Amino acid sequence: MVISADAIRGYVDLMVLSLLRSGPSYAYELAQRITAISGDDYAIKQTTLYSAVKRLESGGLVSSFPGVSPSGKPRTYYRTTDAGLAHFDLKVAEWRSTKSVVDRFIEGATP
Amino acid sequence: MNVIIAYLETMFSAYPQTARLQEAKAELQAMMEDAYTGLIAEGRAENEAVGQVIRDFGNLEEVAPVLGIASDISATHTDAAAFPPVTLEEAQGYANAKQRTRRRVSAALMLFALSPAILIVLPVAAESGLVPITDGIGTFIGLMALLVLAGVGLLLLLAASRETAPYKRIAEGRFSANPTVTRWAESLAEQYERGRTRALQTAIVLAVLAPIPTLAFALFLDDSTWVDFWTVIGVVFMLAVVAIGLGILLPRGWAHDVAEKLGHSAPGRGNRQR
Repeated sequence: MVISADAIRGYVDLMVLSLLRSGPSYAYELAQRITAISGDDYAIKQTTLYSAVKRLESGGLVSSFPGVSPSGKPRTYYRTTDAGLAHFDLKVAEWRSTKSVVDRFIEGATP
Repeated sequence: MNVIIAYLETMFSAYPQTARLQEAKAELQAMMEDAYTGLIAEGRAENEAVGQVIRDFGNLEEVAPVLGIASDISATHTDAAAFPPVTLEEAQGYANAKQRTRRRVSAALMLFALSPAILIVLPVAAESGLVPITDGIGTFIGLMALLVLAGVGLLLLLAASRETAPYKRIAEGRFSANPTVTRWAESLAEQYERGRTRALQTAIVLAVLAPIPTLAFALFLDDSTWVDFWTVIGVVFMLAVVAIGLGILLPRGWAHDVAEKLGHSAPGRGNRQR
């Protein structure tokens, strides 16, 4: 089942923040890791990832710093800020309750 | 890789070159370069890697809000034609088929151009006693040669059309344009544009030079008994030059033709009501 871009849009931020918790990374690597973790279920567009990262940056949830790739190319790296970590926890809580509400309708059972 | 850079350039070319946009372009280019290098390392063919990277790219509409260019983009998705839009896979398949068959098609047209040559020369040569046969036999041999050359040309065209057959709807314009595909095709054409321009220049020079022998023979040999023969030789020379011109120009024009085809869907027919 391939997930539509619309369905997952609100959670790309969560994915990026989750990946950046383990250390700084750059846009292409983030896209690669998201695609690898999602398997065949979701392939992120480069523009989707780029706009998510930039949105997080302008919201102060991640910060960027210039770095250099192993082959010597200049590259922008991103890391989470404290606000980003707090936002991540918030998004996780939000996802859990979203999931539970939607599940209740899918199961068709009354709580 | 050049196609990818050209693709990005055309994507961004419509917008002011602000620092923010430049930065976005540089970072997206780095992402695409990494993706391309990764695919090549996986053993993908160059064409395939380019297609994949462009497919995975997405569109600028999505990046627009973070770049502050939201109001400028978004007018491109209103092209509501009855035909389904052309996909990048189809377009690439079509371009590949055109590239693969370009020599066959140009060889066929060269053969068509040359096919009457023997029919033109041989009867005149026979009449002037240059070859020991009668006009009749000369005409017969000439006709046979024409049929054989035209036949081989037709076979070549048929073989080529078999390869492009899966993309018939593109060839016939039964699709609506797709901005991603159009941009990809323009980038492709741009990559081959220099070769095409050079071929076009050569072909023009040849076209200008082609009638010179005919004119020269007609003007300088006016009292000679050989005038018929040499005029005919001049005509055949012209045919040969036309054939060479086609042989130079046609194999180098495929990317341009593909871009033209993909950029112009058939909106008139597309609006037909059911």
